Amino acid sequence: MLDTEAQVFGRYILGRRLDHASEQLYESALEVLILGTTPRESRLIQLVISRPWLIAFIDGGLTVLNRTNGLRQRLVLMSAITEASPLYADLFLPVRRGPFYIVRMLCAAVRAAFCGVFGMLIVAFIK
Amino acid sequence: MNAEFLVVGSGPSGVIAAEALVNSGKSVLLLDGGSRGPVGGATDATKAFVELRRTDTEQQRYLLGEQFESVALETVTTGAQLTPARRFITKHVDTFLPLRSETFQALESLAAGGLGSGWGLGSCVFSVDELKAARLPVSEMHKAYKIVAERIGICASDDDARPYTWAHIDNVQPPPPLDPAAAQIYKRYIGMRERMHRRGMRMGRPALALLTGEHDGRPGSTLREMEFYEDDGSAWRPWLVLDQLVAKRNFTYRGGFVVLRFAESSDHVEVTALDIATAKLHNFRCRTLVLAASALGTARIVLRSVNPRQRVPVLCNPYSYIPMLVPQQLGKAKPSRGISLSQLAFFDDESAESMPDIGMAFVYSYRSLMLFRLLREAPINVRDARLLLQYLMPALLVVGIHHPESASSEKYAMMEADATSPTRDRLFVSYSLTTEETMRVRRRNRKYAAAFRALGAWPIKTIEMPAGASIHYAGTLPFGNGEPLTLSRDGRLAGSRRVFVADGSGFTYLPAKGLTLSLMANAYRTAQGLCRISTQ
Repeated sequence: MLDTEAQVFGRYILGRRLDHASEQLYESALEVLILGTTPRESRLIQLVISRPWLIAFIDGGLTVLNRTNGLRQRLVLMSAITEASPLYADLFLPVRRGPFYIVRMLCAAVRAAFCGVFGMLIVAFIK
Repeated sequence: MNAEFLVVGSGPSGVIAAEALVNSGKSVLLLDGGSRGPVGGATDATKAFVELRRTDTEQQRYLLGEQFESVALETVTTGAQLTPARRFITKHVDTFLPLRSETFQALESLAAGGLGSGWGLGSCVFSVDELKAARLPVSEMHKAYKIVAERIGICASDDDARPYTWAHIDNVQPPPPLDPAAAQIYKRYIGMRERMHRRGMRMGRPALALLTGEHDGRPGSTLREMEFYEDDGSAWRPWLVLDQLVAKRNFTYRGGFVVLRFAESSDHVEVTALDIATAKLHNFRCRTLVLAASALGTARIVLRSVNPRQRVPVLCNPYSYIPMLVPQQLGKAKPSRGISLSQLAFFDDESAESMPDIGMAFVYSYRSLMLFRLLREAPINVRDARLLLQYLMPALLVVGIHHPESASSEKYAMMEADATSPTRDRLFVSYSLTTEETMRVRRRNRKYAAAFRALGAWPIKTIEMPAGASIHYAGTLPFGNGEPLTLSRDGRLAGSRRVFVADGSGFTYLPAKGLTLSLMANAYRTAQGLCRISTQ
């Protein structure tokens, strides 16, 4: 179950398949940090695992409604683990701007805002 | 008799005092908690931070920690910024230095090197007015600053910051290269220098206790940006002195002890310490006791020994920080070598008629810290935040603002019983700023934000940190005129003949400037005074 969760979170953050070592590291980190979840947080996690396309929305909604939610904590943990891997380091290091960097930034910002607004509605509906 | 002098604490004050005594031929015993951190060799020394990130398969160990201790996911407290390599600084502290407070988040240390093991290396001299306000002797401190600066090695630049940082100190090394975002705002500052001066604002390179060339057998920095993760000898750390002292015949080092109290008799001082490993009490005997356990640690020892029920004042610089963007640096390439330490020092001098009032801001780039810390705080989803921050990182600066601090009845510490603690007590700290002080802090924060806007940096948000977050503590046993729980000018504890304090406990005013260089200068002059007394 945790390996599926790791793969879903990894693909969401990196846009590619997570390597096995990072998957195992994620599982170990969850054990060490004893990241428990409330029943509602567990339901949110189950929802995004079964419907990965929803993660960006729920994540965006939670940044506004409940930043320290267990799902957010697990996403930040996965970010930390993948950032500390040479396989994905370049995805976390500064990038040099290309000719369309402003467009790329604007697209990301608009998408993030949309995810946040729509995500708040989804999060509010899930009891 | 274990030694002529017993020094408690191996932080910057402790080692400088101990070294001065040892060099004068005195026999010295030094006690501390003794935790040590890794020294060099943790990474490939030929590679800088970014190269290591792309190649080192073991980086998780020093970036996140073996137990993921750097991945703070919930409340961020004082000390959360410590990287795994620096976590040893707070080892055993919760157990052996218990502290209760609703209003004060202290960071203390029992490590070899004390809090100096994590010092940001910013070095400043106090002005004449600041020295007078702190009741420190001006000429003695000026002399001590020079000697200590020569001992530790400082890099600095002869610019507008000099009067506030290295003033009359000679023989500094050239500064390291400047981060491009910081260089841009500095260039703008030079262009509008007169206007800034009229506002009382002065900017320059900070003086840092970092070598850029060889000094006293230590190497210059190779600019790997690994200052937060490992020590290579270019950054001054107290353990450098401690390791040299250990080789001397008239010096004895005993790590692994928490000093609890002392009892003074006509010809000696009996010191009781708790062995951290066995929890057994040990007694040590000396002719003269020199306390340098930091302002809070020394207060614990003195209060237990003299009067646990009495309150002592606490000084701590209020601290705020402002993340900001330099838009022109968005998506710009960064040089592969540099330093992660402070890039610029920005002073707000509102002193008037002998009344010092100087704020200090350190400007940091976000060069060698992990992005996930920002992802956690970003107001948008993690995936898009990562994409945006990749462009934003080269343009990101973090400004830490320190405010000067005076004593008041609302800031105090006292001991209270605690049966669960191995020391059977704990320190209670109550700390609150007056309305006037809070207004002053906020006004100065706004002034800094406006100045940075004028220099082309966009402040994102001003964050006022909880009291204690500056990790600058002083003033618990203020210099006075013989009242109980005060110090004489030579550091002697009132009512005592053989107990001296060599740390910042005596300061009656805490300038906003980093205090470590002044702590060391004060420790040096205190030790010199002791040498003179014991020779007479």
